[in-house]
Amino acid sequence: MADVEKLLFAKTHEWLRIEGNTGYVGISDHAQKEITDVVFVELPKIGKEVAKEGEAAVVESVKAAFSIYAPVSGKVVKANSALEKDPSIVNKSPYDDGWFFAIELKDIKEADTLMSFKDYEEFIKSGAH
Amino acid sequence: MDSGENRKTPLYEAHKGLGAKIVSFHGWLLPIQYTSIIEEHNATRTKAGLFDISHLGKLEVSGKAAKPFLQKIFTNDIDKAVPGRIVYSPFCDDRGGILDDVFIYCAGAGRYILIVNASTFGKDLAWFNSHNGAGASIKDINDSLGGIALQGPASESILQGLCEAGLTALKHRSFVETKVCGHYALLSRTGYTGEDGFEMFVPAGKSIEIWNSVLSAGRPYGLIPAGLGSRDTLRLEAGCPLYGTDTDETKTPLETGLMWAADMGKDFIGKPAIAERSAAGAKERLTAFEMIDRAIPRTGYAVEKGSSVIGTVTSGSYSPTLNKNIGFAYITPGNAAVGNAIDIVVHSERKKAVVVKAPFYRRKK
Repeated sequence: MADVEKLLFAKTHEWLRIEGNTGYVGISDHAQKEITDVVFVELPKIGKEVAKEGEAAVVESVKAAFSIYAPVSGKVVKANSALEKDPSIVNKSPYDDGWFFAIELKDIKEADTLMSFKDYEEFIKSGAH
Repeated sequence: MDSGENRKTPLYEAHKGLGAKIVSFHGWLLPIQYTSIIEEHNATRTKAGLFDISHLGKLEVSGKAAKPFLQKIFTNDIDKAVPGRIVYSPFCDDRGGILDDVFIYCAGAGRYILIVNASTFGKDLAWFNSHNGAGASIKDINDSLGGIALQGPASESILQGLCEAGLTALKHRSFVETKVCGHYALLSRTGYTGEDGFEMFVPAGKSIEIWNSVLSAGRPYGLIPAGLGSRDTLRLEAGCPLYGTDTDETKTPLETGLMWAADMGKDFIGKPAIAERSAAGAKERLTAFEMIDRAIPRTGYAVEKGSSVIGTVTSGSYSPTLNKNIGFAYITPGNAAVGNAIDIVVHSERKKAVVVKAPFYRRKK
């Protein structure tokens, strides 16, 4: 189990884990529960430039499609192709095996606007999302 | 119903107790899922699922004028509805546009129970009343009955111990007025999932007691409660069109593929218009397709062939049973042949699909 205290969260329910100059991106446990059974994941191509808050991936449940936004800007350097074969990993392991893609960070300061896990939990409870 | 506020079915508290995720569906608060749409779907295909169908509209039509009234309204031949049998039929406006599709239960000479869609109940009732020159008695019995569907291969084994009537003798699209858990039940061998199963309409005040008893009796067989989410994926795999989604008043039975349920040898409202369209040839047909490329089709997506738009998706989903992405679309008849390659526009990209034969799934007997 990932240490959620080390993750940063966007208001759109993505998380970011920074390792050196690389940022791994996934969706929160709250988001996977709201989306319900994930049956399809469309990942960004390696080398794609993504902008902070720009659409980077698509996740679909039985009922609907949802956009996944990049929490920070950068170039996609890895994509978790295991999700294409078994999208339910997103439900089973949102903070570990369920990561979507990794980006080479353009500007680490962009992460300052993201929330800590504790703030994110408060944000969900407040119902402002 | 017309107040614009959401109504609770007689089973609402049972759903809350089971931790269901509740949504508003055509004015009713109903469970979309309890734990997982896919789990509920798979349980119904392999074991059994228990559904709240209390939202379906229920009407009783009776009297000497009942049959002539129904014959004039409905496209199908009501003479097929002998006591104990159920007839499926659309009914149409003067232009042949489908106003709803209905299950008509004949409960004896001059007594019929009609099960209509929740979304159209008020409109249907108004239409029946305004076309009742024959003078049939039309009674709204919606509030007196709750509805429960038990669907899946284990259904008969689960229900037999709770039911007075012998179930083996109850054939598909037949019904009996019997007792379930000691209470009145209008019990039919019908469903909307493509599996064997039963639908029962029971006294509203006894609905939770019966729901709980069926659930307890079924647990050893793998029965779980199932919500609207799985009801939708199950019906799509089984090739059942959904009124309001796959057909509406802009389509006639010709476009929707329901001419098998229209008796062109009798008179009914909309028949001349349907005959005219039929002679001219349909401009579009409800067509089943499956995706070849990785993408999920959704309602409203465009269907293309070459450089032309040839239609629109009405229903689409991931199919848990087939592990494919499937859908229904209205497309031009020239493109509706099985095996025809088509494209579905998904998130602005053309994705390959192919026309297939409905149903997508057929149970092994």
